[in-house]
Amino acid sequence: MTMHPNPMSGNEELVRRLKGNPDFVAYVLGRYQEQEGISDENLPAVLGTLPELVSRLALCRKPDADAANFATSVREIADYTLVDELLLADVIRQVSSLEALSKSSQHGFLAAARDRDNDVGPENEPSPPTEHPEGRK
Amino acid sequence: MGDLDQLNATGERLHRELLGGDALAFSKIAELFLPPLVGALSRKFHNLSDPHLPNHAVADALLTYLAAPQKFDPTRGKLFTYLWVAAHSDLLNHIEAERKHTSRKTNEKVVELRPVHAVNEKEGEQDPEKELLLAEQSSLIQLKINDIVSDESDRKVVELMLDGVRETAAYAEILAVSDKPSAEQKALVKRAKDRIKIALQRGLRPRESK
Repeated sequence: MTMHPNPMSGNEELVRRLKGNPDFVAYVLGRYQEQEGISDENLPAVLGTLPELVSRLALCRKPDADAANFATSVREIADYTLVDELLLADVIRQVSSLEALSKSSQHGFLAAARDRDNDVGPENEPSPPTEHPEGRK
Repeated sequence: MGDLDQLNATGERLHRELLGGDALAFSKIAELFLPPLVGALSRKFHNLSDPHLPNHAVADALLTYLAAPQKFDPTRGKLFTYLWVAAHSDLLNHIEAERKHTSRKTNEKVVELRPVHAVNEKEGEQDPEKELLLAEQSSLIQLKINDIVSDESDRKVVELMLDGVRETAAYAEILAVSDKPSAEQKALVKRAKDRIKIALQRGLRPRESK
Protein backbone atom coordinates (compact mmCIF):
# COMPACT_ATOMS: atom_id res chain seq x y z
CA MET A 1 0.00 0.00 0.00
CA THR A 2 1.35 3.37 -0.90
CA MET A 3 1.19 5.74 1.98
CA HIS A 4 0.62 9.37 1.19
CA PRO A 5 1.81 11.25 4.21
CA ASN A 6 -0.07 14.33 5.29
CA PRO A 7 2.27 17.23 4.48
CA MET A 8 1.95 18.47 8.05
CA SER A 9 1.95 15.13 9.83
CA GLY A 10 4.61 14.40 12.37
CA ASN A 11 5.39 18.03 13.14
CA GLU A 12 3.78 17.67 16.56
CA GLU A 13 6.84 16.07 18.07
CA LEU A 14 9.11 18.80 16.72
CA VAL A 15 6.73 21.44 18.08
CA ARG A 16 6.64 19.74 21.46
CA ARG A 17 10.43 19.60 21.63
CA LEU A 18 10.85 23.21 20.50
CA LYS A 19 8.51 24.39 23.27
CA GLY A 20 11.61 24.39 25.46
CA ASN A 21 13.61 26.55 23.04
CA PRO A 22 13.06 30.29 23.66
CA ASP A 23 14.30 31.06 20.13
CA PHE A 24 11.16 29.54 18.62
CA VAL A 25 7.52 30.57 18.40
CA ALA A 26 6.64 27.13 19.85
CA TYR A 27 8.03 28.40 23.14
CA VAL A 28 6.05 31.66 22.92
CA LEU A 29 2.82 29.82 22.17
CA GLY A 30 3.39 27.41 25.05
CA ARG A 31 3.96 30.28 27.48
CA TYR A 32 0.98 32.19 26.08
CA GLN A 33 -1.25 29.16 26.55
CA GLU A 34 -0.08 28.86 30.16
CA GLN A 35 -0.62 32.56 30.82
CA GLU A 36 -4.07 32.63 29.24
CA GLY A 37 -5.22 29.10 30.07
CA ILE A 38 -5.70 28.12 26.42
CA SER A 39 -5.82 24.44 25.49
CA ASP A 40 -4.05 23.01 22.44
CA GLU A 41 -7.44 22.37 20.88
CA ASN A 42 -8.52 25.98 21.26
CA LEU A 43 -5.29 27.58 20.15
CA PRO A 44 -6.07 27.61 16.39
CA ALA A 45 -9.41 29.33 17.09
CA VAL A 46 -7.74 31.90 19.32
CA LEU A 47 -5.16 32.61 16.61
CA GLY A 48 -7.82 32.51 13.90
CA THR A 49 -6.00 29.99 11.74
CA LEU A 50 -5.94 26.31 10.80
CA PRO A 51 -4.42 23.77 13.23
CA GLU A 52 -1.88 22.79 10.56
CA LEU A 53 -0.75 26.38 10.33
CA VAL A 54 -0.33 26.62 14.10
CA SER A 55 2.33 23.87 13.82
CA ARG A 56 3.92 25.82 11.00
CA LEU A 57 3.86 28.96 13.14
CA ALA A 58 5.39 27.14 16.11
CA LEU A 59 8.36 26.05 13.99
CA CYS A 60 9.24 29.63 13.02
CA ARG A 61 12.07 31.43 14.75
CA LYS A 62 10.78 33.91 17.29
CA PRO A 63 11.31 37.55 16.30
CA ASP A 64 13.09 39.60 18.92
CA ALA A 65 10.54 42.00 20.42
CA ASP A 66 13.29 44.60 20.92
CA ALA A 67 14.81 44.32 17.44
CA ALA A 68 14.39 47.04 14.84
CA ASN A 69 13.00 44.55 12.31
CA PHE A 70 10.43 43.10 14.73
CA ALA A 71 7.41 44.37 12.78
CA THR A 72 8.78 43.06 9.47
CA SER A 73 9.57 39.64 10.89
CA VAL A 74 6.15 39.39 12.53
CA ARG A 75 4.46 40.36 9.25
CA GLU A 76 6.40 37.69 7.34
CA ILE A 77 5.50 35.00 9.85
CA ALA A 78 1.88 36.18 10.05
CA ASP A 79 1.51 36.04 6.27
CA TYR A 80 3.12 32.60 6.10
CA THR A 81 0.70 31.25 8.69
CA LEU A 82 -2.35 33.40 7.83
CA VAL A 83 -2.42 34.82 11.36
CA ASP A 84 -3.33 38.41 12.12
CA GLU A 85 -0.02 40.24 12.50
CA LEU A 86 -1.20 42.53 15.29
CA LEU A 87 -2.41 39.56 17.30
CA LEU A 88 0.88 37.73 16.74
CA ALA A 89 2.88 40.81 17.74
CA ASP A 90 0.75 41.15 20.89
CA VAL A 91 1.27 37.50 21.81
CA ILE A 92 5.05 37.76 21.42
CA ARG A 93 5.20 41.06 23.30
CA GLN A 94 3.00 39.78 26.12
CA VAL A 95 5.13 36.68 26.63
CA SER A 96 8.38 38.66 26.38
CA SER A 97 7.26 41.35 28.83
CA LEU A 98 5.85 38.92 31.37
CA GLU A 99 9.07 36.91 31.21
CA ALA A 100 11.17 40.06 31.60
CA LEU A 101 8.98 41.11 34.52
CA SER A 102 9.27 37.72 36.13
CA LYS A 103 13.05 37.78 35.67
CA SER A 104 13.38 41.28 37.09
CA SER A 105 11.18 40.52 40.07
CA GLN A 106 13.18 37.35 40.65
CA HIS A 107 16.34 39.45 40.36
CA GLY A 108 14.86 42.01 42.76
CA PHE A 109 13.96 39.31 45.21
CA LEU A 110 17.46 37.85 45.05
CA ALA A 111 19.01 41.32 45.43
CA ALA A 112 16.80 42.00 48.44
CA ALA A 113 17.79 38.66 49.91
CA ARG A 114 21.47 39.52 49.34
CA ASP A 115 21.01 42.95 50.96
CA ARG A 116 19.33 41.35 53.92
CA ASP A 117 22.20 38.86 54.25
CA ASN A 118 24.74 41.69 54.06
CA ASP A 119 22.90 43.62 56.77
CA VAL A 120 23.24 40.70 59.06
CA GLY A 121 26.71 41.24 60.48
CA PRO A 122 28.36 38.80 62.88
CA GLU A 123 26.98 40.75 65.81
CA ASN A 124 23.54 40.66 64.29
CA GLU A 125 23.68 37.07 63.24
CA PRO A 126 20.84 35.09 64.55
CA SER A 127 22.04 33.07 67.46
CA PRO A 128 22.07 29.35 66.96
CA PRO A 129 19.09 27.61 68.39
CA THR A 130 19.51 27.33 72.12
CA GLU A 131 20.16 23.84 73.09
CA HIS A 132 17.50 22.41 75.19
CA PRO A 133 19.04 21.59 78.52
CA GLU A 134 17.45 18.23 78.36
CA GLY A 135 18.85 17.56 74.96
CA ARG A 136 16.93 16.12 72.12
CA LYS A 137 14.19 13.83 72.75
CA MET B 1 14.92 20.80 -14.05
CA GLY B 2 12.99 17.79 -12.72
CA ASP B 3 10.77 17.82 -9.65
CA LEU B 4 13.38 16.07 -7.58
CA ASP B 5 16.14 18.46 -8.63
CA GLN B 6 13.86 21.35 -7.91
CA LEU B 7 13.07 20.07 -4.44
CA ASN B 8 16.72 19.50 -3.69
CA ALA B 9 17.47 23.02 -4.92
CA THR B 10 14.73 24.27 -2.59
CA GLY B 11 16.42 22.42 0.27
CA GLU B 12 19.73 24.10 -0.52
CA ARG B 13 18.08 27.54 -0.71
CA LEU B 14 16.30 27.00 2.60
CA HIS B 15 19.57 25.90 4.18
CA ARG B 16 21.17 29.18 3.10
CA GLU B 17 18.17 31.08 4.48
CA LEU B 18 18.46 29.25 7.80
CA LEU B 19 22.13 30.19 8.03
CA GLY B 20 21.15 33.77 7.27
CA GLY B 21 18.77 33.81 10.25
CA ASP B 22 15.52 33.70 8.27
CA ALA B 23 12.58 33.27 10.66
CA LEU B 24 10.63 30.94 8.35
CA ALA B 25 13.47 28.73 7.13
CA PHE B 26 13.34 25.96 9.73
CA SER B 27 9.57 25.70 9.50
CA LYS B 28 9.84 25.33 5.74
CA ILE B 29 12.64 22.76 5.99
CA ALA B 30 10.63 20.68 8.48
CA GLU B 31 7.53 20.87 6.31
CA LEU B 32 9.43 19.93 3.18
CA PHE B 33 11.52 17.07 4.54
CA LEU B 34 9.82 15.64 7.64
CA PRO B 35 6.87 13.86 5.98
CA PRO B 36 8.91 12.14 3.24
CA LEU B 37 11.65 11.16 5.68
CA VAL B 38 9.17 9.69 8.17
CA GLY B 39 7.32 7.99 5.32
CA ALA B 40 10.50 6.48 3.90
CA LEU B 41 11.76 5.27 7.29
CA SER B 42 8.36 3.81 8.18
CA ARG B 43 8.33 1.87 4.94
CA LYS B 44 11.90 0.68 5.29
CA PHE B 45 11.49 -0.42 8.92
CA HIS B 46 7.99 -1.74 8.74
CA ASN B 47 7.72 -3.92 11.84
CA LEU B 48 9.01 -1.67 14.58
CA SER B 49 7.95 -2.21 18.18
CA ASP B 50 6.94 1.44 18.33
CA PRO B 51 5.53 2.96 15.13
CA HIS B 52 6.51 6.44 16.33
CA LEU B 53 10.22 5.63 16.21
CA PRO B 54 10.72 6.99 12.66
CA ASN B 55 9.12 10.24 13.77
CA HIS B 56 11.45 10.49 16.79
CA ALA B 57 14.46 9.72 14.60
CA VAL B 58 13.55 12.38 12.03
CA ALA B 59 12.78 14.94 14.75
CA ASP B 60 16.20 14.16 16.27
CA ALA B 61 17.87 14.58 12.88
CA LEU B 62 16.15 17.91 12.24
CA LEU B 63 16.92 19.27 15.71
CA THR B 64 20.56 18.17 15.48
CA TYR B 65 20.78 19.92 12.12
CA LEU B 66 19.10 23.00 13.60
CA ALA B 67 21.62 23.10 16.46
CA ALA B 68 24.56 23.22 14.02
CA PRO B 69 23.38 23.84 10.43
CA GLN B 70 26.89 24.85 9.37
CA LYS B 71 27.94 21.20 9.72
CA PHE B 72 25.96 20.43 6.58
CA ASP B 73 28.10 21.14 3.53
CA PRO B 74 25.90 21.57 0.41
CA THR B 75 28.92 21.02 -1.84
CA ARG B 76 29.21 17.46 -0.53
CA GLY B 77 25.60 16.36 -0.76
CA LYS B 78 21.93 17.17 -0.54
CA LEU B 79 20.14 18.22 2.60
CA PHE B 80 17.59 15.44 2.22
CA THR B 81 20.37 12.83 2.11
CA TYR B 82 22.12 14.45 5.07
CA LEU B 83 18.95 14.26 7.17
CA TRP B 84 18.16 10.78 5.88
CA VAL B 85 21.56 9.43 6.93
CA ALA B 86 21.22 11.00 10.39
CA ALA B 87 17.67 9.72 10.97
CA HIS B 88 18.47 6.29 9.51
CA SER B 89 21.55 5.81 11.73
CA ASP B 90 19.61 6.99 14.76
CA LEU B 91 16.87 4.50 14.10
CA LEU B 92 19.35 1.66 13.44
CA ASN B 93 21.11 2.44 16.72
CA HIS B 94 17.80 2.35 18.51
CA ILE B 95 16.85 -0.97 16.95
CA GLU B 96 20.26 -2.42 17.74
CA ALA B 97 19.97 -1.32 21.38
CA GLU B 98 16.52 -2.84 21.55
CA ARG B 99 17.80 -6.07 19.98
CA LYS B 100 20.63 -6.33 22.54
CA HIS B 101 18.15 -5.71 25.32
CA THR B 102 15.86 -8.45 24.04
CA SER B 103 18.81 -10.77 23.51
CA ARG B 104 19.93 -10.28 27.13
CA LYS B 105 16.43 -10.97 28.36
CA THR B 106 16.18 -14.24 26.49
CA ASN B 107 19.76 -15.49 26.87
CA GLU B 108 18.70 -18.54 28.84
CA LYS B 109 17.05 -19.77 25.70
CA VAL B 110 19.25 -19.73 22.63
CA VAL B 111 17.58 -17.59 20.06
CA GLU B 112 19.23 -16.89 16.80
CA LEU B 113 18.63 -13.28 16.09
CA ARG B 114 18.74 -12.10 12.57
CA PRO B 115 20.75 -8.98 11.87
CA VAL B 116 18.99 -5.66 12.29
CA HIS B 117 18.80 -5.06 8.56
CA ALA B 118 17.26 -8.43 7.85
CA VAL B 119 14.65 -8.09 10.56
CA ASN B 120 13.49 -4.65 9.75
CA GLU B 121 14.27 -3.64 6.25
CA LYS B 122 11.86 -4.29 3.47
CA GLU B 123 13.26 -5.85 0.39
CA GLY B 124 13.21 -3.86 -2.78
CA GLU B 125 12.83 -0.67 -0.85
CA GLN B 126 12.13 2.55 -2.65
CA ASP B 127 14.68 5.24 -3.16
CA PRO B 128 13.95 7.53 -0.20
CA GLU B 129 14.32 10.55 -2.45
CA LYS B 130 11.23 9.40 -4.34
CA GLU B 131 9.35 10.14 -1.15
CA LEU B 132 10.01 13.78 -1.75
CA LEU B 133 7.66 13.65 -4.66
CA LEU B 134 4.89 12.28 -2.48
CA ALA B 135 5.11 15.38 -0.34
CA GLU B 136 4.19 17.41 -3.38
CA GLN B 137 0.61 16.25 -3.29
CA SER B 138 -2.06 18.87 -3.33
CA SER B 139 -2.09 20.56 0.00
CA LEU B 140 -4.77 19.74 2.50
CA ILE B 141 -4.42 23.26 3.83
CA GLN B 142 -5.10 24.77 0.46
CA LEU B 143 -8.22 22.61 0.13
CA LYS B 144 -9.52 23.79 3.49
CA ILE B 145 -8.85 27.37 2.51
CA ASN B 146 -10.56 26.99 -0.83
CA ASP B 147 -13.71 26.07 1.10
CA ILE B 148 -13.69 29.53 2.62
CA VAL B 149 -12.06 31.67 -0.04
CA SER B 150 -13.97 31.46 -3.29
CA ASP B 151 -12.39 34.28 -5.29
CA GLU B 152 -9.76 32.91 -7.66
CA SER B 153 -7.29 35.78 -7.27
CA ASP B 154 -7.67 35.68 -3.48
CA ARG B 155 -6.85 31.98 -3.60
CA LYS B 156 -3.71 32.76 -5.57
CA VAL B 157 -2.77 35.40 -3.00
CA VAL B 158 -3.20 32.82 -0.21
CA GLU B 159 -1.07 30.37 -2.17
CA LEU B 160 1.75 32.89 -2.38
CA MET B 161 1.42 33.70 1.33
CA LEU B 162 1.59 30.02 2.23
CA ASP B 163 4.65 29.66 0.01
CA GLY B 164 6.32 32.40 2.03
CA VAL B 165 6.57 34.77 -0.93
CA ARG B 166 7.50 38.22 0.32
CA GLU B 167 7.88 40.30 -2.82
CA THR B 168 5.07 42.79 -3.33
CA ALA B 169 5.42 42.49 -7.11
CA ALA B 170 4.14 38.91 -7.14
CA TYR B 171 0.99 39.90 -5.27
CA ALA B 172 0.56 43.10 -7.22
CA GLU B 173 0.48 41.12 -10.44
CA ILE B 174 -2.32 38.87 -9.19
CA LEU B 175 -4.28 41.83 -7.87
CA ALA B 176 -3.70 43.67 -11.15
CA VAL B 177 -2.16 46.70 -9.46
CA SER B 178 1.34 46.43 -10.93
CA ASP B 179 0.87 49.74 -12.75
CA LYS B 180 0.38 51.66 -9.48
CA PRO B 181 3.25 53.46 -7.72
CA SER B 182 5.30 51.20 -5.44
CA ALA B 183 3.94 52.62 -2.16
CA GLU B 184 0.37 52.26 -3.35
CA GLN B 185 1.04 48.69 -4.48
CA LYS B 186 2.36 47.86 -1.04
CA ALA B 187 -0.68 49.35 0.65
CA LEU B 188 -3.11 47.58 -1.68
CA VAL B 189 -1.34 44.25 -1.24
CA LYS B 190 -1.38 44.63 2.52
CA ARG B 191 -5.06 45.52 2.46
CA ALA B 192 -5.84 42.45 0.36
CA LYS B 193 -3.86 40.16 2.66
CA ASP B 194 -5.58 41.57 5.75
CA ARG B 195 -8.99 41.24 4.13
CA ILE B 196 -8.31 37.60 3.26
CA LYS B 197 -7.07 36.84 6.77
CA ILE B 198 -10.23 38.35 8.28
CA ALA B 199 -12.39 36.31 5.89
CA LEU B 200 -10.48 33.18 6.90
CA GLN B 201 -10.86 33.91 10.59
CA ARG B 202 -14.60 34.36 10.10
CA GLY B 203 -14.82 31.22 7.99
CA LEU B 204 -12.91 29.16 10.54
CA ARG B 205 -14.92 30.41 13.49
CA PRO B 206 -17.24 27.64 14.69
CA ARG B 207 -20.84 28.46 13.87
CA GLU B 208 -22.85 29.28 16.95
CA SER B 209 -25.84 27.03 17.47
CA LYS B 210 -29.14 28.79 17.79
